Amino acid sequence: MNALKRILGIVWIILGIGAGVYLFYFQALPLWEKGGNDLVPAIIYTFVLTPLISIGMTIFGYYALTGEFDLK
Amino acid sequence: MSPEAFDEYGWRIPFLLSIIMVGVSFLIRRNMSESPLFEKAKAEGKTATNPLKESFGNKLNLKYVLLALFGATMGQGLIWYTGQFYAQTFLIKICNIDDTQANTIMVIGLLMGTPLFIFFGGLSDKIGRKGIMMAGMILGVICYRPIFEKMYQTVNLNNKEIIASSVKTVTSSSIIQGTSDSLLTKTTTSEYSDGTKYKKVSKITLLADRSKDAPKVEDKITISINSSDKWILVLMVFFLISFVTMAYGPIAAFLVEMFPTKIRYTSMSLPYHIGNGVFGGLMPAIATYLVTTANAANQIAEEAGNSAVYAKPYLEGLNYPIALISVCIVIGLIYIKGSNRHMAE
Repeated sequence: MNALKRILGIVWIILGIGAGVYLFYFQALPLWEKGGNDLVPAIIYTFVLTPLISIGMTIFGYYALTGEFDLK
Repeated sequence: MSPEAFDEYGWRIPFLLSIIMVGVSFLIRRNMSESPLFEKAKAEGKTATNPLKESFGNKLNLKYVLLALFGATMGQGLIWYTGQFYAQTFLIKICNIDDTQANTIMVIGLLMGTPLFIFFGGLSDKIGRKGIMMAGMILGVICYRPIFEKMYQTVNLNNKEIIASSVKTVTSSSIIQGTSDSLLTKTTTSEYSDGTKYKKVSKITLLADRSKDAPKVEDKITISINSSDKWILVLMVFFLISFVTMAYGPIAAFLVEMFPTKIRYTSMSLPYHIGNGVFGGLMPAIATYLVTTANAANQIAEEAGNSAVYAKPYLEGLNYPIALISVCIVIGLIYIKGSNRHMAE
């Protein structure tokens, strides 16, 4: 189980970085370019969801990879 | 209360009535003792002097904060907001059910499901918290699409037989105050053989200055469903609420048991509020946005003579909760221990 937790740590890091790229470039940026009513979801994507999911998931993945969640 | 009166002052009434609840909670809190563990920690001088720093500056605690967020509260918040709030948005904005009927359906479904909060909370004391919470989330991921599909198809007018003689259209026009523009209101009503009633009000602004672009036509569709359809929707809402009770019933005790006494409230507060406020709270807005985007993409494809991009655009909004709850389930099942971490201290 500990090995699985560590291997999945890589998945969470990739997911965190991937989610950050996807949410910013493919969701937030086009909305910023459109403007108008789309600015509200653009702000949500850029300043709330992207950092939270991306940074949080990446740190979580790092902890998992380094064995912080291993059962002793 | 008329819609105008509600917009004017009616919406303030529930907020004002909440003063009573604030008073009740104040009384309860004032007469409540601290937990024996906290009293002991306080007597021994072991309470945190800077709980924020200890919660998030300390790696040991931060990793549990992240674990609680991604392995429990993110999924719980999404289950809650999907079942309780998005269901209402879905009925009103996507199925176009009459506001009063939709709210009645929600209230009945909620009242039927509410005792289950106590049931699953109590059950989690006996068989453990994690299993019940994860079961609620798994059921949500599996059942959301079929449940919302059933809700949509129950109201879908394409599945009903229209009474041709019932179709009526009334048109009226008026001058918009302070301008020389006029407003054309076209109201179409019809009835269906099962008792369903349909009403569409289209508001068309006719500009006096024809050289300007006319504003977009505003359409408001309202569908009143029959009694048996209403009970089908109540049942669907009840299912959604029962998933909420499974994920939500044990969460408070689960979080309490996850963190050490000295930083318990600060540490559990962040994942709880981000899980519910951010991931859950944004759910109805994001889901509605995804549905609107899918509908717009289908419309563009149709206008271009292509086939629809999304087969079921009305279900697109569910992708957001389903994806994040799935991640939460995997993290919860693999990383969270079933037993309590800090209750033995």
